[in-house]
Amino acid sequence: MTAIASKTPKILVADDDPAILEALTMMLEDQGYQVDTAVNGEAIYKMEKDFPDLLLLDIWMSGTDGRDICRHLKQKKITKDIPIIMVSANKDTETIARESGADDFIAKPFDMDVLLNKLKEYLPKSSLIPSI
Amino acid sequence: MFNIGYQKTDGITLDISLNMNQTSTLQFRASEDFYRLVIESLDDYAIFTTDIKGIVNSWNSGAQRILGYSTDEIMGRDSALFFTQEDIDTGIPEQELKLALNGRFSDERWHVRKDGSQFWGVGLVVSLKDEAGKIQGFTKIMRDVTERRQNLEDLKYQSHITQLITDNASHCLIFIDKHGYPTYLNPAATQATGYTLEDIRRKHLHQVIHHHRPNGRDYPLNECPIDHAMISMTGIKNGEEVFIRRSGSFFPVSFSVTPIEKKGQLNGALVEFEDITARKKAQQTLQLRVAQQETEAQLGLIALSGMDLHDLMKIAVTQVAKVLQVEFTKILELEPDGNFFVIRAGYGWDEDIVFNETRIEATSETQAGYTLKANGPVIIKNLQKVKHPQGHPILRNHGIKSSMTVLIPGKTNTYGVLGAHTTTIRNFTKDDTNFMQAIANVLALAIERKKLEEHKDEFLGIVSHELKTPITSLKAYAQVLQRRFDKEGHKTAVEHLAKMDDQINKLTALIGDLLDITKIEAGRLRFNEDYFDADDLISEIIYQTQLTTNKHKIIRHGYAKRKIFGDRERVGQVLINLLSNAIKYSPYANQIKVFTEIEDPFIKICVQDFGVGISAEKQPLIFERFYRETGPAQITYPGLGLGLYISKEIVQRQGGKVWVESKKGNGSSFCFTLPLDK
Repeated sequence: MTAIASKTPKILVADDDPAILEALTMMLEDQGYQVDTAVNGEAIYKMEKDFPDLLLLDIWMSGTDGRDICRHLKQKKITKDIPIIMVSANKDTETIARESGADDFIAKPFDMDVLLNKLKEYLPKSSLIPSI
Repeated sequence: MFNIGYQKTDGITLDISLNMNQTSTLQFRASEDFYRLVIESLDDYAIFTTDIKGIVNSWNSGAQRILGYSTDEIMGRDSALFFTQEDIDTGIPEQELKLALNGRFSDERWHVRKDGSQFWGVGLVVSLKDEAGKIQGFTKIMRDVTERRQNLEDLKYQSHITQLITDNASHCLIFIDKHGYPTYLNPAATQATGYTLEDIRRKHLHQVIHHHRPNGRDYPLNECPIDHAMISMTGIKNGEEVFIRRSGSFFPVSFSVTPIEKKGQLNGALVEFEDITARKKAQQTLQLRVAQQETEAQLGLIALSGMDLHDLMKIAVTQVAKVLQVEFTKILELEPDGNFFVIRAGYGWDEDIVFNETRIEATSETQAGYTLKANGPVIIKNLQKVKHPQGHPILRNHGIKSSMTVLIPGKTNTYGVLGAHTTTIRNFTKDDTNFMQAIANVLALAIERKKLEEHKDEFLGIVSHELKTPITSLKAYAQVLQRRFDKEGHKTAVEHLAKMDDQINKLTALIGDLLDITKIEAGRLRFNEDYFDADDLISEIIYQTQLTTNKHKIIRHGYAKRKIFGDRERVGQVLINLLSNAIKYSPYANQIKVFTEIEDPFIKICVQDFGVGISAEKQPLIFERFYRETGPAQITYPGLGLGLYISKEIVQRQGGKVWVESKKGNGSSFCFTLPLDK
């Protein structure tokens, strides 16, 4: 094969609730995405390589403010282009989220279709092989 | 009538010019009878004669009338009888005779009548000389002037009383003559002005005590109200002026002027005045206290209204400065570790001191720290003179002399301090301290309230997060399963999972409602407002809602065809609420209509159902919190009863209205309006 294999988009999901991480991993992998998870902000700060193609970031992860992480990443040259979708249980925080540089926002609990549509918006056309 | 037969007396020459018949009159005139007639006719006067020793040897009817003795009774007796015992004891009768020997002697004294009563008599004693010039005796002529004397005595007494009154009056009295020159100053006036009558009798009163105004400007006579009163001869009562003491200092007075008339002309005036310095000071103190209390009350109200704490502090420092009349005020917050204060609000200082949140050490060398350690209000009269506390350099740089600092109490720890400073020496009173403390207490309340709110918000945030977390995974699994089963064609499973998803959405909505309610209660419902496409939103919501019911068909009528300004999310929430109610309360109907209309400057959206309708009495109730309609057999429809209340709040707070048109049995139409533009 001479065609360059399209890269499977990698999504990093950051949330302090393991159940949500599990559910999201299942949901996104079903759609053919590659999923990495992080339960706290530290892991994201420490990221040096293997950056994801998109970050689903919970705004409040026990002790860490998701907005700080967002700002941090958007400031760094190597990470500033990674689309970040901020997730929050409180839909009123949308404005604050966007103010910290997030590309988009989604409220918990989110509708699967809504989330998937947003992902398609930010991730490059790729040969996703969804299983469902 | 005539007393004949007694010793004749000669030597009296009476010069009587009578216009009578010459002959008979001459004859008459020559006779003793004539003279006696004359003497007798003068019965207002007691006229009697005595020998050289004072023994009475003639007596007239006047004497009888005045002295009470008849001629028989008195002839041959000593005229000393007529004197009082006191006078007799001091030898007055003899003195009188002695003095009369040298010519004539007149006197006024008490005399005694026959019956012992006394009268005031004015008498003239003349020596009687015979032709040879030898003194034979005396003539005494006396008049009863008791009444006159009494009147005089009365007058003197009146005068004495008046003098007593004026001398002892607490009000100051100055009498001025018709030219305005003082003729009398009572002791009170002297004390008030510092002048005695002697000092100022040659000067015009106005030039003495009224020549300038307190602001230093000249006070010309023609502007003086006292002068006006005199010229127009009208009095003034309860006037207010400012007089000048001898020392040059001014003092406020309440005064009255009473012009004194004599025969219709101005003869002078009485100026009565009272130094009201103390009264004015008391008035001022009272006014000040009232102002303080008003400020306390106002600030209390503002604090309760839930105003932003920062704004409240700004108002507080400004008001305290104005009411206390100090140049600088400040609010300092104590940092948690208790080592530093941070300035939170200030009045009178340079901009950047407040803006840069200057920090001040909480040691006992700073006023704030000192107050903290003293655990109570601290007043420093002169910062430049005390050794402790030295005060922060900022205070010294501003030339501060007097200060008053109070603690702003906190529930567990002191929040900080409220301070007031002046650059001139100032004696802060107990009232001032009480006022400052009252304001500090109001601030404490507001701060406590804010903390509580912050805790509440924090709590709400946590609750929201915690509740939605498990729901998020629940929903994710339900939706994934739904897709999988759909792919594999398990229709029933898909239906069941769809219903589960529905319920999850309901649960989510309920939590959302609860949170909204708490925000509305706390006045913290915030909107993300912007222009959005109305038709777009309506389509979206109708589509979503339609998915939840295959019993009802949602039919749309009318389009906005424009963008409107508002919170898209919240407006959507209202529409969802109305639609879900329509579905819920018309279980036997098969359609729901949605109308969109532009009624400038509003957009009107109505949701019509064909269900049971709402009776007139219940209509106003349904928008209230926790109200739930009961259905047939008293089944309560599920839900918390918050949807319409929240919808009402959302619509009203964006400037719109919400209402219902319904008739029992005929379905309902719920409508709401929103302003098209900001």
